[in-house]
Amino acid sequence: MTSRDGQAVIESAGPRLLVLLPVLFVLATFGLTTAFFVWASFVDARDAAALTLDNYRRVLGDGYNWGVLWSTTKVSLIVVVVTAIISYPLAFAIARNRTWWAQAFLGVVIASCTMSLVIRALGWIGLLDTKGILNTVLLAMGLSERPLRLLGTHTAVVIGLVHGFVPLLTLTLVPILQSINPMLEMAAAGLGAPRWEQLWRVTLPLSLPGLIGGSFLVFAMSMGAYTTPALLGGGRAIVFPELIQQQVHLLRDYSTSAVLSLMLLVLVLLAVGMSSALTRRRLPGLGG
Amino acid sequence: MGDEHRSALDGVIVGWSLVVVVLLVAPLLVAAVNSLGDGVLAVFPPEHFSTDAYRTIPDRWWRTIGTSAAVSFAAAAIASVLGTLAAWGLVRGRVRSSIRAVAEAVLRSPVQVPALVSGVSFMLFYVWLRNRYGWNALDNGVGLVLAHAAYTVPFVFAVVGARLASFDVTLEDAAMGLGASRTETFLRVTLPILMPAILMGGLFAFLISFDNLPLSLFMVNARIQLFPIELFNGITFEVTRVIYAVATIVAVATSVIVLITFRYLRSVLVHADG
Repeated sequence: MTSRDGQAVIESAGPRLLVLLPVLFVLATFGLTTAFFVWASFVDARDAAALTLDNYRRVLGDGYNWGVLWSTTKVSLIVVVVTAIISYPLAFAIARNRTWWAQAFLGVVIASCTMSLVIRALGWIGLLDTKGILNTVLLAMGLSERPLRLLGTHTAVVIGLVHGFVPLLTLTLVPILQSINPMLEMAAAGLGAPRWEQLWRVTLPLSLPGLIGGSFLVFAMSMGAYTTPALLGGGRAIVFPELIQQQVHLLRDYSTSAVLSLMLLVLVLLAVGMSSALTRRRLPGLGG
Repeated sequence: MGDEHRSALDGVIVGWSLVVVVLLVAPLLVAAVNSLGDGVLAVFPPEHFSTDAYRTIPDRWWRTIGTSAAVSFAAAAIASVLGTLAAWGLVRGRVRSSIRAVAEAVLRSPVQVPALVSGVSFMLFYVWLRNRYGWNALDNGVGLVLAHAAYTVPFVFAVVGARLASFDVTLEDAAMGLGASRTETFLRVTLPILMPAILMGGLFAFLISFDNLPLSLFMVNARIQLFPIELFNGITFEVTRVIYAVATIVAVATSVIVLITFRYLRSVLVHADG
């Protein structure tokens, strides 16, 4: 009945069995449907009883799909780098300052995490549109002769995605940076290292596993993101998840959409696996 | 104390952070500003200040917000119960480490798969169910609730699990030492301490479900329409001031909820090591 080595008091076979219910629920809904779509990717489009590899031959043989996959990968890599560069100093400022404004920064970061992606994209449309705020200001100041066409480009997609992932990566980095003792920087300072060198050669290397782990997660979420690219890419700058949506909504081609979904799933799970291998921290990411 | 090793570089970092924070809120400010003008189409800058857009919001917006809230509430309720059970069992139960790893992997998986892929798989399965057994989970909302519940279980699991991991079990020792039974200890000591975490996990699940578009994208139809998708369709069709007004209302409502619960969310999100 004691709890000498951290073992709980209320402990018996009971709690163990409790896990079964949620695990079975997730398997029965999420697991079952996932298995079903993998099976559906092998079903012959003309004969529902027959299994075939034709769907794979058709989808993998189509150079257009690979082209979109490649441009999506490029967009995601840029998003990862920009998100890391923007988030790291913000996380550092929040982790190292116990002031009201550091708390306010954290408040904005947390509020942004729960803020609707559709609404954020709408705000960016208001900013980036040819008749939007940015162009109105640029034209009024004479900095540009014609309005910049940003919506419908990969640039707009990158901006929107980075805006979505900065709060998430920042929240991942804050506790990691808090766990690094500032005394280490002071020790480096005592040995004559200037401030930038303390951060570059002491703090950054110590936080690197967390930063890289978080970045793989950002890459995974970026590859799978639909909402933001669809709104800011305006149907012209297509990313891979939009291909899946088109197959379902426009072409009603379920077997092709299943194969494309599986391609995306494999890629994303690889990145997620890399992320958990690099960091033991397992806060679930926010999909979108 | 101990700040003498800091330098101008720290000032630069704080300045940079301030710019980033302003950019984080910028799109919401834009939405708010654009909602407060006259004319149907949102042109910047608005010529006259006007709240017309707020007074002419068509009923269908309130309807979809209501449907979304109902679906998300049901899903969050299911997820709260299941996520709490999972966290309780894994933290308190004597579970072999291999089984624990499998259980955790299963419980985390719904958020690791891209939501759009889950959306496709749920839809394909429900279509098959309808064609094969005539049970239409797409028209009665059950399909959406189950998908959203599965998707949000990991969030409750993480939040409640983190709270349980830092739970001071000597409190239970004390209660039982004073003669309370196991059930009594659970109901009068453990549960009250856990309740804020469960509610916060549920709130988190609700917000995530309410906002999620790709999971539901293929499961809505003429009978059931959800708010994020209605908003998405509205934006792709034509960006009007009414759309900005609706978005602003929902954004402000979410922000207020988050601000009220900020202290707790902070402790859960930043110090959680689930």
